[in-house]
Amino acid sequence: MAVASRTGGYIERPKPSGLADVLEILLDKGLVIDLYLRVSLVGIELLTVDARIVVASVDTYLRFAEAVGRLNIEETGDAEGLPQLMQDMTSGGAKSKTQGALEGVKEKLFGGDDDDDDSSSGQRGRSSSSGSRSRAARSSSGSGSGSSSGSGSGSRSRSRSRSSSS
Amino acid sequence: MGLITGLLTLPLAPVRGTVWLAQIIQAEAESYEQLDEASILATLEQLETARQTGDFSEEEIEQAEDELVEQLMALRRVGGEETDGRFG
Amino acid sequence: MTQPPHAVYVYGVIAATAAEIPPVDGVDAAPVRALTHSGLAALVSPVSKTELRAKDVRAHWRVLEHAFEHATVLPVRFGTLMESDDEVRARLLEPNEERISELLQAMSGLIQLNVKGRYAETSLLRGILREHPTLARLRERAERSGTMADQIALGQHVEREIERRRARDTEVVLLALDGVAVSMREEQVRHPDAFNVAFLVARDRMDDVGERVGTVRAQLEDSIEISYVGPVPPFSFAEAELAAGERAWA
Repeated sequence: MAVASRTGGYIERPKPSGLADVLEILLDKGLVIDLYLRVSLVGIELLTVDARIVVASVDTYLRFAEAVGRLNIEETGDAEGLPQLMQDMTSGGAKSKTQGALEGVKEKLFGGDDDDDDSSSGQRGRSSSSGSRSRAARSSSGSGSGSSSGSGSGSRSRSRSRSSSS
Repeated sequence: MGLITGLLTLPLAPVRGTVWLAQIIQAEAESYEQLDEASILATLEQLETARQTGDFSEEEIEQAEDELVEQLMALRRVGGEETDGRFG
Repeated sequence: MTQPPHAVYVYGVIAATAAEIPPVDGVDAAPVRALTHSGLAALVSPVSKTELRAKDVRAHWRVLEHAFEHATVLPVRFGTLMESDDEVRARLLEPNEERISELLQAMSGLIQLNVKGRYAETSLLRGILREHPTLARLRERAERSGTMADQIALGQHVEREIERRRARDTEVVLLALDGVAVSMREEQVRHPDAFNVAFLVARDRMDDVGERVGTVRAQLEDSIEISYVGPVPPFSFAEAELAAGERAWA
């Protein structure tokens, strides 16, 4: 959300922390009171060093190589790559995959255009295009950890308008 | 086993609500090699978005969130033994 | 049968002279108290369980957000319990009085805001490929040979370019907030996240920050999904490891 400033620019307002933000902060940051008591009563590893933090490994390199290799196929207009191409054309690439993932799951559960639940026709239109977006995303195994999700009310409203325009 | 993980074994059915939420979590989990901290946080973000779209009740979302937070805490949990020395 | 342990859950520390904080409930709906010692007050509530759950995370956060609206708060990490009120005074507040007072002083009137960014992997890789012809050549070679060695070489170069790109994009954020933020801190991120920068700013400068975040978004939004979160207590800046004092005799 943004409001116009006196100078004519936009002043963004920050969004409140979602649970993911809260967890990142509350579990890993803040005053640490070093007490044996904390461990024995609570039993939670708080001084955690995430072992999964990226120390680049062979797996990572291979995954990147595969992801880059796939770009080549899509640029030549291969049919499977078309949804990916469409997505890049309409949204410039940076968009919420959350919408796509949710819609893709919805499509899987309810079927695509034939579903007669209470979604509007506009929504149905969006669901079919994001359905193919998520199909492309799923078929590319390498993009697993690349899934992004909507976050921030400012960015969320932007990405939502982008995905509905596709 | 929690509500959500129990539902993951059901066949797909056109029922909104918790089944769909279970699928979101499963879809997210499948896109990672294992359910690790990153995927849990990513799924939580997706649930936050789902909350905004208003397709689910607050209760359903919270329940799914609670399950995920439990998993996150389980990942970080040390053995619950009493220790007498300094920790860490 | 063992009794469930009685303990005191600690949320954070405020100055004893801080404005009155309206009542709020914490973990397990127990009312939060301000436990005073000298110039300090620990925000606490009683608990009688060993396992903390998701709703306790929410409760802890709610307490801190509430307190933060009324006073400078040094937030304590989740899951911190002490045996009793006396223990809180004698082992937390008393031995660490100077350090805690310093921190409260330093954080007075300040809030934390985070600017986070995440890449859409496909457009990131596309952009990198465009910028670096060497990568295109490496990709062709890997395509032709199909050997793992060539794949790894390609992946290594891609990874390195992503790191460079990440540093460059983070710099945009740091530069934009320079001059407005009292302090900045780059938090560790993992691909596909681009950055997570915490800013310590004066409360009354939030609008200035908001304007600059707008310019950052305009600059980076083609390739990065930007998220602007806060305000929160200064978790990333009030870092200290406080040693518990020795147990008192008897």
